[in-house]
Amino acid sequence: MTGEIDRPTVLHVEDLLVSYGAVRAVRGVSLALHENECFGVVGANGAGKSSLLAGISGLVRPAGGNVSLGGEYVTGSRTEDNVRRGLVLVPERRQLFSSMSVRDNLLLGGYVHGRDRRVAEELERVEALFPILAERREQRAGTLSGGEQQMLAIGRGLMSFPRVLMVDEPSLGLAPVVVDAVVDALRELRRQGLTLLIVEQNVRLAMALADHLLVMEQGAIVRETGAGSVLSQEALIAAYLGGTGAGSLEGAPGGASVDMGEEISRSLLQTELSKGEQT
Amino acid sequence: MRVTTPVRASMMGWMPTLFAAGIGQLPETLASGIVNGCVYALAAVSLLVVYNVTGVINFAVGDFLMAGAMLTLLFAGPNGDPHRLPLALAVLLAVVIVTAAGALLEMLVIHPRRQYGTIFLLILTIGISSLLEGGALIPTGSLTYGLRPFTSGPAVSIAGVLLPRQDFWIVGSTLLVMGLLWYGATRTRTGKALRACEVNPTAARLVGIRVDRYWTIAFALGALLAAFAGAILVPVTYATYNMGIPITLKAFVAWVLGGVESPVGAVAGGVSFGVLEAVVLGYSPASVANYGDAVPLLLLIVVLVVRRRGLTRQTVVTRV
Repeated sequence: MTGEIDRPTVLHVEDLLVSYGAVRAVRGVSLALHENECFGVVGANGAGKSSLLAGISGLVRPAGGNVSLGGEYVTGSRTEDNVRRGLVLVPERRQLFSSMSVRDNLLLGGYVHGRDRRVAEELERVEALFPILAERREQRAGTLSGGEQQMLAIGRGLMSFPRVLMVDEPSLGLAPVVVDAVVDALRELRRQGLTLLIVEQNVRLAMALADHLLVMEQGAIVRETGAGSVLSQEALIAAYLGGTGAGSLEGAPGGASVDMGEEISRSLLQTELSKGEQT
Repeated sequence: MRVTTPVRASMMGWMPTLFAAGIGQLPETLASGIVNGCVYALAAVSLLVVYNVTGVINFAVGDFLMAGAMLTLLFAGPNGDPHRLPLALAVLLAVVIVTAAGALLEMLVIHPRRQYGTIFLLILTIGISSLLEGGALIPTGSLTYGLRPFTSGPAVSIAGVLLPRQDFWIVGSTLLVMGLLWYGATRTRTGKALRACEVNPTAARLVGIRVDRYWTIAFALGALLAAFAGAILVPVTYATYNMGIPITLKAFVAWVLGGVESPVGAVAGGVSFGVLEAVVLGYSPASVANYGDAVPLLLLIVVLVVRRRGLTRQTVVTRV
């Protein structure tokens, strides 16, 4: 994390605006993601986290601002073209081809690379990372468990050879044990050099993975934790858990396994923010 | 359509006809039903491919079929004129032209208006149907045209049942086309991508599939299937400029009968509709048989009342 300044910026987002009609979902978000870095975006339901990813990926055409990937402006270009550039989204609720086999889902992930030999190699790598997917190769994707589906969605994203992999709510609807498996896999991918942008309601998960946490509220980033600032991260989680400040994490009831999920309300975030200003 | 000659109503009415004169022709009736059913099956699968990818019900399917039949006639020559093209080349050329026309119509007419929704697009395909029909009327007039069978010779007798040679071409080539379709859909990259667009268009975009392009491919494939059906049908029926609409209706019913989403269902729906039609028309008095085109509509009402999901039962297992 200390060497990040030397690494080139892969994804640069400036003042991104995303609107649905009159509703502003993202109001001027900026971020710069370096190679092999992992950003976590946290915040309450409806804070604009998924809209941010939709705007970056091109699933929704941004109303303003800029997105550049490796120095090339990709603002407003279509998702299917961004995938070719290596800007890949693993969407919320997974969006698998549910009536098709696990193998076909993965192979479709490599669609843009055609008959490239690397696709077959990547398939082996993904199946090594998620052995359960190799085991269930011929099974229909829709019959997998939630955790397996999440692994398949991530695996399918990897098959597109991402320069930046954006993962939306990887823990959504999963049991804590399964969440751990997904976290382990994402951590391993980081170790292998992948650049990640993760959106999560589960702060514990985001903290376990990310160098930077961005807290979103009402479409804007309202707080950012610096690289490796462990203390402020602890302060953050303490605030989420209703604690009194840094260091109280250990004592918080159920602090080690609480799945924050839907429970993070805007008011909790507000509390956290006022505490953040005090410290 | 080739319909078995309706058995004349006897003086004694309908039931005695069935048992006295008609029953001896049952094998031939069934065979002709299966043969017609193959054509309906191809047209029903054409509807299915277009619908599954684009959500558009293509009411021009019968007119694509008519165009395939007419162009085959044009290139091959009704009476085997030696100056015309060989039959295989004529069929190929007809199918290629109609396929290209299907792709072009999608790009120029359907695609720019797709944001208007499925009902609008359905009406647009009815417009395309009229356009094709009118376009065929100008050069062909209201005349009927026939083509020699692909293989000449007397009907083949199997266990005492006389089967025209073209029947074998129709059934055999339908099986071949369905086999190729199955292979394409499950084994090729383009086929898988086409299915991906059916199953989940958003996910298809997320893996880099240009869904727009697959709308065109779906229309082209639909036109191809219909044109091929027209080409193999023309030796057993008379082609006219307005043959399309009744076939569209029958294909539509066959498709609904098969449960809308399943290709196997569409084929089964096509064949069972063909058989049912042949039996109904073959064993009813001429006064009833004259209303033959009402059969699909009556059947459609029955299907919609009895089984909304069609005859095939599909259980979709999804865990979240």
